Amino acid sequence: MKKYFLLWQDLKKEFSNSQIIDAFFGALLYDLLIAIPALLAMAQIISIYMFRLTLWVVLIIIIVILLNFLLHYWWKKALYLKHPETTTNVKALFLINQMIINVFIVIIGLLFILVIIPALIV
Amino acid sequence: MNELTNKFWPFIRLLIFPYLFFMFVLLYPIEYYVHAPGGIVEVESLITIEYNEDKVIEGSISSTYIMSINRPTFFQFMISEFSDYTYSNVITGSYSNYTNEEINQISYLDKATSVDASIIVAYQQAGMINSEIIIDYYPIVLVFGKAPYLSHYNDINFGDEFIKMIGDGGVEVVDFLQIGNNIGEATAYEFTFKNKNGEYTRILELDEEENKFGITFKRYLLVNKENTFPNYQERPSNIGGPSGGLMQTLAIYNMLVEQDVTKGLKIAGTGTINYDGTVGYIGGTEQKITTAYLNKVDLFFIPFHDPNYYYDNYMEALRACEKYGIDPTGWLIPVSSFADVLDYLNGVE
Repeated sequence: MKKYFLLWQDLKKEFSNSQIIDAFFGALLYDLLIAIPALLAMAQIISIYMFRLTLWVVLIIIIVILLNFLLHYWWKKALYLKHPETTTNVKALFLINQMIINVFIVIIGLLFILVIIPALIV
Repeated sequence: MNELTNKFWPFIRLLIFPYLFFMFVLLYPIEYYVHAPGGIVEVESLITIEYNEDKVIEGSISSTYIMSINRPTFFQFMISEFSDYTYSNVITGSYSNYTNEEINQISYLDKATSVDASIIVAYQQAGMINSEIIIDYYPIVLVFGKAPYLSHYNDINFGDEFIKMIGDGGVEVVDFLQIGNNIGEATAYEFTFKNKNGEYTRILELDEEENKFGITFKRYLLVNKENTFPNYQERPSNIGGPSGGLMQTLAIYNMLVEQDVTKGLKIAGTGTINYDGTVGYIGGTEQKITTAYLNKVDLFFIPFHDPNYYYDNYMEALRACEKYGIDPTGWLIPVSSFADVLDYLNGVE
């Protein structure tokens, strides 16, 4: 975790807060443009193939992890486009960031499979 | 943000129209319905009874639900065509006039009233063995259908209670079956309904072409919880429709009696329950059979009344078993009443 915070500090030295946020929202916008139809399609597939619900929830977890990857990929790209000469190891920083978020995604997905869905179907 | 847009603009420009087309396919609804397999849900999660709470139930009793999608999107319709288990067709009849929200309202009304019917039948049956068990109920007349020409269409909702109508000569009609005998002199009549906000009155006009008000009433029996023993708790259900009636009745009965009728089996089934204990037909038989089969249930009860009727649920189920290579012997059990279910389970070793 120490490395993670040091990398953030490096990033903040090279980029202003507004640049980091601007890059993030740019990446988020494009990520949402992909996420909305992808998740809508998954929801509609689930409605037809409900008997494979657990399989679909696992697939949704994988899709969300991929979307998370895309978000970080575009975020990194936007930062490099702003400062091509940056020396911060953005790749390493965002890899740790992704890992942390992925753990949460898996936990939430498992909560859906094991607790929320069984409780909702009454 | 601009950097990304500038960098990817050639791709974005290329993908705009395919993207919009895909979104259209994902969002545009079509006038069809799709039936797809759903799942099974244990009735115990819907209703609990404060009685025999130490009793160990070794098996399980589940109702079967299917996914009934009214007005699916193009995308839903297309992917449903890839499955052998789904059935799709054009929406016809009165449902074609209803919005999806109204169809859901009818479905949840059916569910709510089917739970009361299950409680009445199960308590009556259990009351024959144990005199401690008491059931009290009362009749109620509810709005069950609306035609597009109904006056005050949006004010009157499915499930609203019919209280009275002022007929010719100022006669107060409280029996909905007598409405037809008390109209004819005027073109509009005063109706009183009741919903959760209290009573309300509307003047309903007779349609000139149909000579009808455009409203359908249905008589139900609701449980009077105050005079019923033992108490029961009902959880709100997010599964609509009346087809869980038979299994609800069996599960409630099993909670009331001392013996465990499941005998360790994973029991599922379908069929509505009538107040006299007979079982009624349901829709989506094929999808329910596949749902039960995919969920590996030990027994599946299905309504059976007339072997010569093509759409008899048991005959439909036999055809579904043949289609999917399911052996129905000892698994698919035809029943015409709740008593048939108990007789069958009593005979299970």
